Order: sequence, then C-alpha cells, then structure tokens
Amino acid sequence: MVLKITLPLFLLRSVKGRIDVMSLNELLFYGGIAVVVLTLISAVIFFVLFYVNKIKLNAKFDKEYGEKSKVGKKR
Amino acid sequence: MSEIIAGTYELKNKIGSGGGGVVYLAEHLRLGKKVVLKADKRKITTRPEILRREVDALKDLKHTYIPQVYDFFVEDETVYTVIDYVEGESLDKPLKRGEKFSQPQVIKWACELLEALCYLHNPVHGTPPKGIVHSDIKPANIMFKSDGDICLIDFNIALALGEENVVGLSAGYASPEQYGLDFSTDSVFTESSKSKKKSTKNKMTTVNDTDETVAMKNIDETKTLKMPTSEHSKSGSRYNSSLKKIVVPDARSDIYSLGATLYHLLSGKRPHKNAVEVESLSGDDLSPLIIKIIMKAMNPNPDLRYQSAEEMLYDFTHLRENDQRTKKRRKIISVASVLFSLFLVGGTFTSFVGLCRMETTQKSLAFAEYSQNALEAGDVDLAIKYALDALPEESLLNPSYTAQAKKALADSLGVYDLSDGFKPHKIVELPSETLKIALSPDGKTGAAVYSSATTIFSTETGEIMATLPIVKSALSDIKYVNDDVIIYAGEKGITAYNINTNNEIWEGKQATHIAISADGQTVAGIYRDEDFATVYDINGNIKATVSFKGNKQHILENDTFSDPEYNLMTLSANGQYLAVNFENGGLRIYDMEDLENDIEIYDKSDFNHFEGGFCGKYFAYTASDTKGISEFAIIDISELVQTVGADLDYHMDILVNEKNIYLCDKNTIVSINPITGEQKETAYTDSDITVFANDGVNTIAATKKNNFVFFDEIASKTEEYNMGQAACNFVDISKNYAVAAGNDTQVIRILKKKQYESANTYSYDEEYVHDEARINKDESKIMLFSYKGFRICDIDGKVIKDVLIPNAEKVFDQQYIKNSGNLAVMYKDAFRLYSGETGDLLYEEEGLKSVLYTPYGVNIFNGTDIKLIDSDSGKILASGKGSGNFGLIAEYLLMKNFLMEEL
Repeated sequence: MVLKITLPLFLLRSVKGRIDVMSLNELLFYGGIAVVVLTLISAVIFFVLFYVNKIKLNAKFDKEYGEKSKVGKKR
Repeated sequence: MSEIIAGTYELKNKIGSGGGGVVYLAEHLRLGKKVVLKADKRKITTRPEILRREVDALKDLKHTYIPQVYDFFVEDETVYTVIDYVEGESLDKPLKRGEKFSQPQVIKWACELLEALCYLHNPVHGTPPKGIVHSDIKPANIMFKSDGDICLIDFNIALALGEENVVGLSAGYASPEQYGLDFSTDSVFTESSKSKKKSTKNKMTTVNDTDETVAMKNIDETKTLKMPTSEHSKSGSRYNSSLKKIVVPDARSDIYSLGATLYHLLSGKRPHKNAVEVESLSGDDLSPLIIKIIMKAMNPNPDLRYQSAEEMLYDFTHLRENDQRTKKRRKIISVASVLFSLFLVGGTFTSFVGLCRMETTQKSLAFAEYSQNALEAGDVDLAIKYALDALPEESLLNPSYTAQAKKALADSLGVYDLSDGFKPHKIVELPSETLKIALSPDGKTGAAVYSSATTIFSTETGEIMATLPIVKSALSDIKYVNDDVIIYAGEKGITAYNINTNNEIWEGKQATHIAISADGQTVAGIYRDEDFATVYDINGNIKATVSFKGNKQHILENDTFSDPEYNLMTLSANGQYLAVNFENGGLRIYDMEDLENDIEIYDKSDFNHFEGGFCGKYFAYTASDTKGISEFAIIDISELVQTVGADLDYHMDILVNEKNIYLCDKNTIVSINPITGEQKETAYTDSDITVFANDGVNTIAATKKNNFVFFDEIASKTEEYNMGQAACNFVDISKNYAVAAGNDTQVIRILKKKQYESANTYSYDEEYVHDEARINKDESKIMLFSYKGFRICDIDGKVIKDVLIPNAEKVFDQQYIKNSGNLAVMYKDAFRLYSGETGDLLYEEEGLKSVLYTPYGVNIFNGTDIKLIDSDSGKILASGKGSGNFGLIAEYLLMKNFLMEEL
C-alpha cells in the first residue's frame, strides 16, 4: 500500500511564496531553528531506540554472562 | 571405622585419597562438628616451631570460598590437617558424567574462585607476611555447594609450607612451570629448559593422567611453591648453583590452573597437558571474550598470562563493558552525541546569526527611512547621520549594506545629485501646527503663524529669529512690506516689526486680515467681522477708515476654524483701491480717494469664497459658492470694464501680483494676459493642485498627493518632493528659497536653490550592468565597464558600442586609462587593450607568463621577451629579453629604456 501524502494546494503555494521572498537572513534564522528542532527530534528518536537496544543487549548479556548482580564480589 | 585421632577427632569414613594421602570425614568429639581430616604420610622436614607458625597462619585464612583450616598436627609420623567439611560435590564428578556447564554459571564460579585466589595470593598471611599459592586448582578440588556457590578445597598444608618433596601435578591443569618448563619472555635457558623439558617430559610420561595430583620425583630442580621472595626473580625463577634456571610456580601458575579448569568446565574436555598444544576454545555458545580470557590465562608464557588474580577477576567482572558490542555502542553514542551537539550548536549559532542579521537589516531599513524623511524635511545633517547609522560595520552578524541604506547615503550626501534646482535645506519646527507662512521678498527670512504667535526664522540657517504674539485666531495674517519689515496681526493691534533690529515700528488698531499695497506704502486691516477697515500709511498713521456700511466679512462663530482664504481683502499697487468681499456675497472695490464711490462688483450673491488681487490697473478674482459654481473675471478698474471672464462649475484658485495673474485649473497653472486673456502654461502636475506660489520666475505647487513640485520659468518640472503623511497646505517661493508646510504638521520645510555651475550631468541607461563608470578626459564619452564587458556612450547616453570581454572569469584586473579613455584588461596569461573611442581591440596577446600594469604602460612577459605596451595607443614602447624577477627588473630597465628614448 503506498502511503500518499498530499498537502493542500493553498499551503504549497503559500510556502513557495514565502520562500521566494525569504532573504538570506531569514533563511539563516528559520533554517537554524529548523536544524535545532530536527536535531532534537532526531536525538530523542535516536536515544529512545538506543535505550531499547540497550535493554535488549542487557538481556543478551544476562543470558551470556549471567545477571549482573550475581557476577560480582562476595567475600 | 571408629578410630580416634589426637584424642579429639573420630574418623567416620574415608571420603577420598590421592598422591598426597587419604581424606577422612571425622567428627570433633567434644564439639560434635563434622570436619575433614587429611592424613599425609609424607615426611615433614620443617622444624616444629616453623611448622607451628605456618599452621597458625593457615588457620587465619578466612574466606567464603575457602574452607577453614582448624588444626594441623602430627601423629604416628602422619601429618593431619583438620579442615572444615564442605558439603557438596566436587566438579569433577559431573564432568565425568559428561555434563557441561553454562557459560554464565562458569563465569560466576570463576569470579568466586578468583576472589579466593585474590585473598590467598595477597601477601598478608603469616609472619613474615606472604601470599599463598594453591598450586593444585582443578575441578576435583572445587566443591559445588548446595547454595550454588563453590569452594576451593584441598589446600595442601605441606605445599603451603614449601616442603620440597611434595610438589603435585594434575595433568592438563598444571602450568608448564610446574613441569619445570620455562616459556617466559626473558628465558635464556630455552634450550636447557627444553632439554629439561625433555627430561621432565620423560618423567611426565610417568605422570598419572587422571585427576590425581601426582608428586614429582627425581627432579633436578628444587622447587618451592611459595610466592616469590626477594631471592627470586619476578617470574619466580631462581638459579641453582650450576646456573641452570629453575622455574618456580607462582600466582600465575594458579591462574593457569584456573584457566584450565574453566576450559574443562566450558568445553567438557580436559585441556592438553602440554600447554603449547592446548586447542583454543570454540563454540557458538561461548562468547569470544570468555574464550579470550581463558586462553590468556592458559598462555604457556607466564609473562603473557594475567599477572595476578585481580587482573583476571577484573576482566570477568567487566565483561559487559569490554564486550565488543558495548564498545561499538559506546562508539556510536559518542559519535552521535558529537554530531547532535555539533548540529545543535551549529543550528543555534546559525539561527542567532540570522536573527542578528534580520535585526540589523530592520534597523538599517528604519534608519534609511529616517534618513529619507530627514532629507525631505531638509535636514541634510540629520539625513547623513541616519544614513551612516543605516550602514553597520560589515561582519558575520551584520549583513551587507541594504540597497535602501546605500541610496539613503547617496541621496543625503547628494553624491549623484549635482543638478541645479531647489534642494531640501533646513527644517523649522513650530510649537504647534502651521496656520500660514510667508517669505520675505529676498527669501532670506520667513514668517509662520501658528496658534498663538508668529515665528520669524532664517531660511539660510533655520534658526528662529523672533516670536511675536498674535491675535488668537485662524484669521491672523502676516505680510512682508519689504525684506526687513513685516506687518502682522499683533495681540494688541496690527503691528509693523523690523526683523533686523528686532523692534516694533508701530502698532495700530486690532486687525486680523491684513493687506499691503505693492509699493509698500499703504497698509489696511480688518478685525474679524468688523464692518470697517482701517488704512494706514507705512509709518502707522491712519489714512482712512473705510466703512462697509454694515457689511461684514464672512467668518465662523469660532474663528479658530475659519479659513482666511475664503475672504478677500487686497490693496492695489499704489494703495488707492481696496477690494473687500462680504458675507452676503458682495464684492466691492473702495477708492481711498473717493470712499463714497466704491465699485460694486457684486452687491449680493451666493458666492462665499473669494480670491483675487490687483495686477496693475486690473483686478482679477474668482468667486465660488458652496456648490462649486464659480466665476472668474478680470476687470479694468480704470475703465470699469471686464476684459476676461468665465463661468465655471468648479472653483479655481487664483494668484495675483503686480506682474502676473495666475489661475489654477485642477492640475494646471496658467498665467493670463489681462488684456487678451491669452493663457500660458506655468505648471502641470499629475494630480490636482491644492495651493501654489510664484515669484515671477519659479513656481511651487502642492498637490493632493501630498507632493510639492517645482517648475522653472518655462514650466518644466525641476524637482518634486513628498510631504509623507502630512498634507501640503502652504507654500511660498521667493528668489532662491521656498517653504512648504501643512496645517497638520509643525514642521516647515525650507528648500534652497542650488546651482552647480561647474558640474555637468550625464545620463545613461542604468539597466546596463556595470561595476564602474568613467568619463574620458575631454568629457565626450562615458565608459561603463565590468570584468564581463563594457559599453561606450556619448554624453547623452547614446550607445556607441557594446563589447563583451572574452574569458571574463579569468580577468584579474582592469584599468581605465584616463587620457585616452582606453580600457586595459589584465589576465594572468593574457592582455587586451580596448579603445575608449570606438571599443575596438588595440592590442591583444595570450600565452603570457606575467602581466603587470604600471603607470608607464603594461609590462608583458611571454617567457623570453618583455614588452612595454603603451596604454593610450597600444603600441610597443620597448622590448627586450628578461628573466628572474622580471617584474621589477623589467620595470626598471624598460623605464630606463623608455626615459632614454624620451631623451
């Protein structure tokens, strides 16, 4: 199933028009904000996936090396 | 069996036996505690006191994974060791059953065994303090307890004592050095060791390959199983008298044995007794890290094994951290963190830069607008200041100059405006909105009426010279008699004021509306809606009182809102006639010489708006009613004949002075010949004119678009300015000055006529893209040029030639030659010279090594020859051979050559 995403035509026009008149300064400003936002979103997604991966890896480690609390010092 | 040993222990049953003796389960008779008695029949040579000391040391060993040693005694030449009984099964038994253990399980036991070894090897036991080597670690000596933990047993006391004839070996678990083999890194006795290896190997063949610890016999080397003391090398080896190296097992031997034990537990196979032949562990269910640890522990070279139990334990307790997957994750997260940080910082910085630049741009645009406003207001200094403020210092945070800022600066500096005409000069700001303005005949002073006073100001400096209180009425009038004297509606009465001396000359009766004859000798005044006018001579003496016989001029109840322009009161040039309109629509001309015989133009009418004046013997006027119906007429007073007239359906403004009659018809101003009625256009605008003024030469007209426009004597528009939001209701012009103001603004704009006699103006098509524009020496041609090409125009802007410069991207310099108007185009490897007259190519050469422009010509060097090309003619001035620092040398030589030729 192909997911089609279509924007309303008026929105496309407005965006295009906005970009046409956007100066370098505005591009820098909004572009910078866009980069920050995208980076934050990417970072959140990345760390969530990473955390899930960590849990899975810990489970593997538990299976291979034993549970962490049992492998340790005991005098 | 029920044998009592030492009167304390009752032997219960035999639980094991081996090379070292027999192991019994016994019971302490008094305590009822189960113990293990190890009976060793080997002879003890240690002295009793040392023996006791060592036993005491061993009895102090307390560790979870090591059974407690309670006692040690000798009876019947048998050495008995009393050890804590550990209930469970030794690990060799499940191995014999073919069981294998899981990796996590083995790791757990490894840690426990290593903790025990850390404790044992720690040199704190006994006096003097020393560490203790187990030397016989193997599955059979590890008890698996019911709680899942293990216990390292069979701690041979005799071994701990260092008895020399009780060395034990368990094949596969014993380290090479226990066989007398030295694989250490610094071994210099490899051969002898090998030979000994052979000999021991022979003996090894007699070693029992079972789990039993077998004593070594007839060994040349004397071994001790203590931890190395200062007498020993680091490797624990010492040397016998024959200088043969003797390898003494140490903690690393235990490490080897432990590794071998773990090997067996994981693989189910006992490792090969020859350490170099041990196969590496493998298997899908074994982690590479575990294999690595065990194989390191089992390295034949003790220098390459773990050097201590702590080291090996560390690796076992940090498996997760050292796992490749964890390292890979750490690397990924480090890289990701750095990247995210970079992007965050980069994005934030970019956004910050963009914001700063946006703010700077906004400020620049605002300042540019302020500058333009100031310039339009005539304040050039302020305009320049704002224009400079609009040009911030270029940096990363400040964008390049906006076009508006550049224009503002150019406009304020007048850089490109060298044209003659009226230019914004100064501004005067009144305390309240302007009601009326007037200029002196020479234009050097001006007068402005506002709510409560009249301000006299200098048009040159914009400074206020005097402030004179007036009748608080919108009808209050001001009129210049001459350059120095002004008549105004003073608070106490009509007042003549000398601007230069700053003195009142005379004061008369109260008046609001004022008229002065063109010859300046007669002054008339009417106060509000009084039905008479008072006529004065220039000295303020009343000449006459003209009664209107009950007629009054039209004013509003509150004359603050009255429009003075709706009423007409004017004197003829010599002051003989006074024309006045009345609220009943009447218009009469009074003769000062015969007041009883006034000239009635209108007795009554519907007209309520009258404008007009005297032009010589003619009286011209317009009269309009509220519906816009108007009449215009010029009347010869002497003949009492109308010479020109018209009926109109809209109001027309009229301006009459001694020399001319001007009529404004919507957007056109014409002067009318009072005799013939001939019209001559004076001004033409693109929107309706609201008010205008004329000084006999120039005209200033305000329009409905809030502009005011200047026209010269031939009705050509010369300048146009905008008042911005404010309407332009008042204008005046006199000689070299003009003023403009609005009734909704406090600002009066002063413009001054500027003439640049020495400047010439050239125009050309600004659409042509160019970086520079130059005029040649004789000012006959203009060249517009850039690296891409050039255009030659004549002074009228007519294009003579367009030329495209080849390989424009390779051009590194251009020089315009002022004398000839030629253009020199320098490349790194070529040179072209174009004519400034025709645009033709005068000289061209490619394949050059260097091109150098000098004031004497252009140096070109093609690798062997140097030439000096005349920039004006394109001819070769000099040539020669050149090398080295050709530029300087060539310049010097060619200069010399050039000068010599000149001579």
